[in-house]
Amino acid sequence: MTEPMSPFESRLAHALSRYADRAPAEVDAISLTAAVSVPNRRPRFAVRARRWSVVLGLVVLGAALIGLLAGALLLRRPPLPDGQLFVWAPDGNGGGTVHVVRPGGEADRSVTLPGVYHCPHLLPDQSMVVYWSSDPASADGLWRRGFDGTPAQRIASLSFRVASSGSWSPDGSRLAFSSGYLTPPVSGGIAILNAADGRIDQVGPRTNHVFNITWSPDGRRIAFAQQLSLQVEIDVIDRDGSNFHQLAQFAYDSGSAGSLELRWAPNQRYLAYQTANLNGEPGPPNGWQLVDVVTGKLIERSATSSSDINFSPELWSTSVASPDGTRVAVPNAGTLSITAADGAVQRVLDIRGTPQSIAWSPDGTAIALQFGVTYVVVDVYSVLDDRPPTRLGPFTAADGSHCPITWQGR
Amino acid sequence: MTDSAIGDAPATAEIVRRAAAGDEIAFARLVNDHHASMARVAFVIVGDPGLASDVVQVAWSIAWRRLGSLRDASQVRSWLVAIAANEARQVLRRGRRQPVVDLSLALDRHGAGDPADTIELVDLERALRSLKPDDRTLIALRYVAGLDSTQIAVSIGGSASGVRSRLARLLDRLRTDLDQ
Repeated sequence: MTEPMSPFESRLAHALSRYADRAPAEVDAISLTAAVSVPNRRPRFAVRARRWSVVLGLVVLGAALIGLLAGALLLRRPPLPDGQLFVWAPDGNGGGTVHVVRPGGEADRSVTLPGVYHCPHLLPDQSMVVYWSSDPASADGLWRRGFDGTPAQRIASLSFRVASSGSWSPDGSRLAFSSGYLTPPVSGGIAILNAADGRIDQVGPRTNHVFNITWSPDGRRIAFAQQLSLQVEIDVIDRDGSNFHQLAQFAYDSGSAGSLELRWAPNQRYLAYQTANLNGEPGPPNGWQLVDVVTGKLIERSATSSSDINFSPELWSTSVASPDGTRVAVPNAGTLSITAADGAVQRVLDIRGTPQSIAWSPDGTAIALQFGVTYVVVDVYSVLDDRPPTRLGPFTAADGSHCPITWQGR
Repeated sequence: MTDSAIGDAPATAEIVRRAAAGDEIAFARLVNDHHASMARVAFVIVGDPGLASDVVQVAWSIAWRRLGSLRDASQVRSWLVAIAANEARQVLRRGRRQPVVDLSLALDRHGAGDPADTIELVDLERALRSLKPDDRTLIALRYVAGLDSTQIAVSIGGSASGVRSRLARLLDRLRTDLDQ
């Protein structure tokens, strides 16, 4: 430093230095390099070619040969599956933009929504976006809007509690929530709203408060808990209200109901439940209990294969199952493992960090990973071969995007 | 004037040369050596750790593409810091984003130190927020990255004397804000 500082400047520099200590310090240099270097090879070639023009001809010739070879190889590879990837980018002013893009990178459609207070999603036919709105210009509730500029339509007037406690079916067509949140409230049971026509059906027992509503991966069944006096019951029912089965019942205090968690196995045969058993209240011991949904019998986990993903509730929260439930994608510090049901790792992909969310293609041959919160990019990988990922975005999300991406259609 | 404080100049030049030629290990070495400086400058400008992290990642992406255009390898630190600062400034301009600062959290973060220092940091944060993105960039480059007026002028454009004049005006303003 050659320029001297006044006493005030020194004091300012010292204070700024302490303030800057809050900056993110940790970085994995190798992973970051891998992340930033992938898409930039072409510009780097250009710089070098300008510097050594004599080499340019050879580089171009070599690149042409490599390109021909790569082209021939690519021609032998199946293309990425089609469909629509759904990315939500909040604008920092309470609204945001829905981007629908194709896996190959082509922008498909977008629509801007005002006053959104929960993650929006796309209907299964991709015609409409469904979202919760608190826009003062319209009533609160669940709304839908197309991409053609026509005004939004309100599907239902539902309270914010439904937005935070309800559960969308995996295909995004139905919303299940406690009937107690209807207006007027109904004691007990599950209300299922069909987002296409706004119709609400009530299923399940009508006597007790229902919570932890959890759809099976195929969207045909619903597991839930209901509070009985000083006990909790875990039940499962078809989405049309048929085939009601009680799977478990145990002593539990309603004050700790929120600490109960339900998870479906990727193959949908098993359901796991866990209670935190707070404050020494009665209930099952800490840890996951696994029950066979068909027979209703508890699974003795020590008797199962420890590598089978269908017996690993701990894995289900950190991985994303393929649509057919035969594999899971497990992210781990710069890699993504595709693991088969028996625990065998089928493929390991090098990725640019820890993804914010993961979405399988509907046919299970590709996978999309969302990175970044403010600058959202989506890398689309084939799980069939080692071709480089296709990068979508960046989508600027001024308020940070914390909603998962989805991949719909074929 | 050089800023190759980390390691000796020939070694730095060699690392930069290899990184510019596409050696990812050499580039990772640069990341390891300079990421913290870039993050600190970006954070002072944008005021949000998450946003600063995104900014620096974009800055590294830019650096990867443009490293071959760096003429003087001994200036790599100021060059990298300037990229991060420019990206942070652009982000604020594009997004018109003013991060919400939870002062209670800010107090908690610094609660272990001297109470007088804590108040000073909160005041400093407020004073920074009141500055334009360009002015925050200038302050960060000078007093966080430690660049001199010549290096700043090269980084953001303009003359060294112009940088010194702007800094003098900013210092007057900050002195008033912080001494109130």
